[in-house]
Amino acid sequence: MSKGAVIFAYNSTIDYVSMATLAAKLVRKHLDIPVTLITNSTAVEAGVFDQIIILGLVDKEYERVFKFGSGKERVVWHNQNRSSAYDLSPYDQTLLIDADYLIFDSGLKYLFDTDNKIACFNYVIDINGSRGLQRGARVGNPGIPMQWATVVYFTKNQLARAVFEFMQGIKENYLYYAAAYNFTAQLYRNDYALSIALQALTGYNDKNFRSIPGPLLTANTGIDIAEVCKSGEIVFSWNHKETETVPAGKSFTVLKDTSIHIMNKRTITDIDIINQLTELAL
Amino acid sequence: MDSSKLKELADAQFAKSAFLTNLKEIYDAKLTITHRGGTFVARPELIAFLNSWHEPEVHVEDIYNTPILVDRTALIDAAKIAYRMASVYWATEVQRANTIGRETDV
Repeated sequence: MSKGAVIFAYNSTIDYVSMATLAAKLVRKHLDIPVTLITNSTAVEAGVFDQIIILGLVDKEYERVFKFGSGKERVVWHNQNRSSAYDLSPYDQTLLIDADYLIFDSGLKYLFDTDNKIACFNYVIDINGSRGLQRGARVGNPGIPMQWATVVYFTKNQLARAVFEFMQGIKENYLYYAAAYNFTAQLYRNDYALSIALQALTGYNDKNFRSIPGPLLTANTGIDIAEVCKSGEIVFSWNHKETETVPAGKSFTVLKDTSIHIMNKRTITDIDIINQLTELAL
Repeated sequence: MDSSKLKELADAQFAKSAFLTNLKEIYDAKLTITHRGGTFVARPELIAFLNSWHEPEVHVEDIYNTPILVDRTALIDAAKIAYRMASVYWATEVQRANTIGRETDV
């Protein structure tokens, strides 16, 4: 059975292809599997990807407001092609990851030895301890439990095919599903489409599908990468608000050998940071 | 790193409790192992349970509530390796946190 990772990358004002290139190098180092890039860009570093699939954007453009540590920014966001991952993946066993999910350990390798048909993370932990993305996130109100599309493992099977086809249907009828599940349709979210499809196709039951054990560790958009050490430590910093005991200021934490979803696209595409992170992929 | 950034970082507060919470979650995830298509968590309970049997094969429930006929010795070995690696990682990182932290950190 062939195995590999698939990454989608569509540049906007943010350089997703560079992010994907870094992510691919880390996948190859830590998971030792080939990586396929799906993009509309022809300017891709040679020798990083096993395959490059050129796929144009045919869908509506969404704008997303990212709240960075230094302020807010409205950026064009192309994330609507992911529902075609099942058809496009050249692998029997696929690890579909976001371009901003950086793998620094071999923890996900075991997925390829399971009989999981499709699996994703079902909870998120913010590395700064904020509760914004913590357990209990739901799609809509009252909604259904959120499943996170940042990392999706799937094999070629009927359930996975149906989930991705359903996601495509949700994308095409997003207004209907937004009304049915009571969430805003302003922004198309793969997380929502995946959550709805998985839950519905496994009998409208939250326990009938498999999650990836552990949390999707996340550095949210307000967290910067302050420093990347050659020894592998990554220092993250953020502004904290004043509390009864602590004045407002900067906090930091350190991670080593830990995979992480970095939502602050500015910090991850900073030329110094991306170069330092790339060194860790060697 | 330029000096202003360095100063900012030097003044920053180490978020120790968040660090330790993250670390525990990472440790738990690192205990995940697979065996004969099943997915297990290499906790001391699993290792002790497997050790308490003598038969070469025994049914064990995996994390998805699926009974898996496991090769007892092979699963013990895999669980012990995962447990050892995750525990060493956890302990090392906790030690490191103690060297980074200051009394005022939260």
